[in-house]
Amino acid sequence: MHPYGCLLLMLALIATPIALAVTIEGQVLRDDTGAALVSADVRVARQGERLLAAHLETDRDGRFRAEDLPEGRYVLTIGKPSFQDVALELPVDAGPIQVRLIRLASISGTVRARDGSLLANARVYAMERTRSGSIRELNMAAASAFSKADGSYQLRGLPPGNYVLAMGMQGNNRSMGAMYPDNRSPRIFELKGGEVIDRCDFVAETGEVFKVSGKVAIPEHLAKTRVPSGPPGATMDARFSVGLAPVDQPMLQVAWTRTEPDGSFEFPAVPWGSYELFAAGPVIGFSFRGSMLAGDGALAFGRMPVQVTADVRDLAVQVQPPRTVRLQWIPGRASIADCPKTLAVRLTALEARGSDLTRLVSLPLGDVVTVENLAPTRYQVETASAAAVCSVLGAAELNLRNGQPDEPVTVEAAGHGSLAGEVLDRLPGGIYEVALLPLGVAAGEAMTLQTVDAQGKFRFAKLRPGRYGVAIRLQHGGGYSEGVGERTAGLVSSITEVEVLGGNVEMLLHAPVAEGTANR
Amino acid sequence: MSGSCRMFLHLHAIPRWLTWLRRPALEQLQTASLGMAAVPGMAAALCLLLVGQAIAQPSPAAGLAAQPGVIEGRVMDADTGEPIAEATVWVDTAKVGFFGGKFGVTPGQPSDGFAESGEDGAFTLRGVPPGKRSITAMAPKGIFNEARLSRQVGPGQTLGDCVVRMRNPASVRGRVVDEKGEPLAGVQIHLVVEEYHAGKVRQYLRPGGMSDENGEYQIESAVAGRAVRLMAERVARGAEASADSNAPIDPKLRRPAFSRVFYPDAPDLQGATVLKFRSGEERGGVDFVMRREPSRCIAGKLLAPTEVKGIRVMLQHAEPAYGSTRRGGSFGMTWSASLDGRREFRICQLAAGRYRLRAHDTAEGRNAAISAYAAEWITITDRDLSDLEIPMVAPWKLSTELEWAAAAPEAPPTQPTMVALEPLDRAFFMGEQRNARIEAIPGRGEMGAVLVDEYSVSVRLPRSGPSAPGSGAPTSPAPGLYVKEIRYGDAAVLAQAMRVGMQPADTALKVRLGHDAGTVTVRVTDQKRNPVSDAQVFLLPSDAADEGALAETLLRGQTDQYGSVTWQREVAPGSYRAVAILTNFDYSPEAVRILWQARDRAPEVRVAPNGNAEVGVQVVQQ
Repeated sequence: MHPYGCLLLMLALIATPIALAVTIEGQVLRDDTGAALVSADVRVARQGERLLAAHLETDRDGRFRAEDLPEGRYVLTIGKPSFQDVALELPVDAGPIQVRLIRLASISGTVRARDGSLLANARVYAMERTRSGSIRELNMAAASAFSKADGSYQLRGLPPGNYVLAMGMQGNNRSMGAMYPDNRSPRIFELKGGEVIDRCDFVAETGEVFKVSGKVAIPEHLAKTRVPSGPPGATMDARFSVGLAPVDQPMLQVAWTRTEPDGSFEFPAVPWGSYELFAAGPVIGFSFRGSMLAGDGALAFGRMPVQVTADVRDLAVQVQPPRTVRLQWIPGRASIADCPKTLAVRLTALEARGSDLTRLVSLPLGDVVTVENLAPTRYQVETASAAAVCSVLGAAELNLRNGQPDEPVTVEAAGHGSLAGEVLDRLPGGIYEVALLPLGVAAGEAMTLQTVDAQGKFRFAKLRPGRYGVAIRLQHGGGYSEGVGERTAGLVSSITEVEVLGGNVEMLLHAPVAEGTANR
Repeated sequence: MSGSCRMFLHLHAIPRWLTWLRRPALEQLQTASLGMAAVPGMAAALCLLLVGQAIAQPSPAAGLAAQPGVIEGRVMDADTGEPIAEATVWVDTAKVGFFGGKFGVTPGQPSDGFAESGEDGAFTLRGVPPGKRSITAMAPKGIFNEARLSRQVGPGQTLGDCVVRMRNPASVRGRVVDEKGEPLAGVQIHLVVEEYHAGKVRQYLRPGGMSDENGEYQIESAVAGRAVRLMAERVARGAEASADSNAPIDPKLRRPAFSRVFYPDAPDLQGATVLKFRSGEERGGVDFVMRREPSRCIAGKLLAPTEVKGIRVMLQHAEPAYGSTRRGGSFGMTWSASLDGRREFRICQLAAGRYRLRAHDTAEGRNAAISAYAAEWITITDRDLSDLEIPMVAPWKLSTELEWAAAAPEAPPTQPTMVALEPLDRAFFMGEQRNARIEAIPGRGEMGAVLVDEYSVSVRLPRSGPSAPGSGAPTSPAPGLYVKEIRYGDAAVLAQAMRVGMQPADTALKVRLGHDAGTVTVRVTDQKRNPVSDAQVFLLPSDAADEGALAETLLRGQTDQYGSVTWQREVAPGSYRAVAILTNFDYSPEAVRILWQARDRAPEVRVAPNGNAEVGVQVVQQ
């Protein structure tokens, strides 16, 4: 080697920063019981890098460990089926961490007939109850189940949120739909995490059923409709969708069918009751929300009350042209700096109609957009996607049952916001962790954790507009939940609900007064 | 978005009401479900197919014979002899379909020829048009759970004692744990069945179940009465299902994968135990132990033409796999993901094994054709595969020629002939064009976008009719017509798989039709010479070279109450053996072997051009 070679090499080594190896380790526990969670999924990502540094699973003791990782800031995402995912940013020099996963809620029970016999194949489903009190269907696998041969059903994996429970069954022998425990005063399930609610038993009305038949007066100009996926210009005989919903619970779908081309229809087995019949068409197919309407063509809708106390024949259903509404996205008080130039909104029908009435509309800022072919029903104007960075503000509702507004309906939106807070009554030396749970439309997304700083402050930034639950616990002290047993385990009494709609929201939290108990 | 598996409609998850669809509709549904795997947002197309089915039901049975008959009978469990209640029963002229959430009579139409069985299994079909009638019973449980009878109904006649025997599906329960005994959630349990299709035995997956957080699973509708095997497979979720995986570079830092396990503890189908469930059986303790193994990644690039924008990539295990068959294959969740404008892919969380990777461009517009396609076998052993370069090729335009095998008939058919290619181990993709409609014979058609893949060829002969009373459209092939030969270059593909890409690009698919089919009547008796009703009767071509060819070319019928079955101008001239059995026939290797072995002792039937033949046979004692 050259006499100076060794020296140069030494200098080079001195000049090169030595990458420190990092070890990330921890333990994943079940929040309500403190039990170790086996085979939980732990994703370790270095900030700013797409590829994971490590993808681990927990062992029998719920522990995980990744060694020799390059120095840097890391984000962990931890999940397990039936538990709320957690995302947290690891502080530099973080030692072993403990992460508690909140179990998603479950609701179970049976479906029985009045005579006590158990009913199989009834669809039991949870619907969201919005802050405005409206009820809407959910597009979520966990929200629906069919009763088994022994009449039992179980909805598993329900994320935090407010729900009502419904049951429906449709067939040649019987069609029915009912809320739990009854249509007039359905129970509202305020799920905060981990609840195991059982014995929600439906008693199905299995009394006499009646035939309901009639004819929809399909207008001549709608007698033909295009063939879906057919060659250009191909047409077929038009049919209309017909649905029956109870007057006292319009989101329940008791029965639906399609007419013949001449407009005739029949529901073979409808229980006694007061209903509203709704007709819409022409239909070109169906989705899981109901019949799909020929959205690019002219539509017509009909509506009439139906009292079923015996067979009902020869109903004459008249139809009317669709409603038209003008929507305008206007700047409001909230910041829309993060928003794209066009706001994507969805009009969701708030009454079950046997038809998919959902409409997606793009609203360029300031422009008045005309939306045609709307049904004479109530719509919720809302953000099109839970993942949107810009959200519709408030619970804008359009009631088109009896007419349409002459003036444009204005829509306000908000971009990202933040949540900052301070924890009071902290124990000396106590390290606290704050959890932020998405609620409402975004429910089911990962819960975010943050460690409270030495000044008792915390801050969650870049939050999508929406509702969140905030919970706090003493690190290595206990869970978020009160841990008083399976049935009530969860965050029922320790969660604080906040709404972030652009801008910054500030809050004060009280530290838990004792290990394992969150403040009220 | 990472993979779109979660949006796929899997047959396991199909609500019960979909089981009320008639078979053709559900077959399309199955196809459409994997179509959704191929193209996001395909739910609408699926639904359109379904409504199309409902709308396509025959028109009202106007002009039925003046003196309709009545069919009385019972639906019974084939194994237990117990009655089956709430079975739907209908004759071929009933106007039925999927309406208002359930299979039944079209609303507003008479319920002639339609009934539901009572608690004692009894049913009465009224208003049945006289003639040869097919009676179908569908059990309230299970998917495709149908049985049929054939009966001759005279004017004003009341037929009693029509017993439809069928099986209820079995229920299978078990638990899935890892090698440490910990429960495993999200493991898909499949039923694997074997059957002959396109000339050889193939394995297909049928609907099964998924393990829950306790590792427990339940299959509610396991097919009873036929040999099945069970397989456990872990389903990729979330980011694992991405075609742009973010799995760590270092395999040691990856979460382990799980390889397939065949019940009870075999790595492949050959080591699996064959199970046969009784009707309605509740089988418990069918447990699996799955073992971790290193997670492997495959990475590479799809060599696509520059004009291609979006690409969807799909990966599935080699057989057993989802696939199309006219006799029991099914479609379910196949891993697929969009490349979001990229050409590069990286797919991880894979166990060692043999996979089929497919990719096609995502055509814009509802009727746009696929313009680039790839299908490659990938074998993963003990290391990652990187730098794969997979060429995408343009679909072929396949000229399809139709001609008479001999001189043209004096009165040629007026309806068109449809020739279609059915993919063997995948569902159809939106944007394929693998059907040709040929208006006249001789004539020519073109399949506009045929993907380089493996298919069976199906020919829908020109219709004539109406064949069913009251039906508006012709539903039966014109008398005398049959497919004599199908050739693709030098390959005979009438009873064999057709591999597009193995012949020069300008090779035409040639279909030769005969029009001199004869009539064969088979009368089935028992040893005391009494007629045997409801026997399965087969005409087996004497020149079938092996069991695979036999399965593809056999003609199948069922005896009526007089022990007779007739193929009216449907049988190609030639020599056949006639065989009758009393058990169900499902194209399984066991069932085909019974026919293969029985044919040596079976009476020969020679069918002359346009001829008539009649033969008596006794049922084969199995």
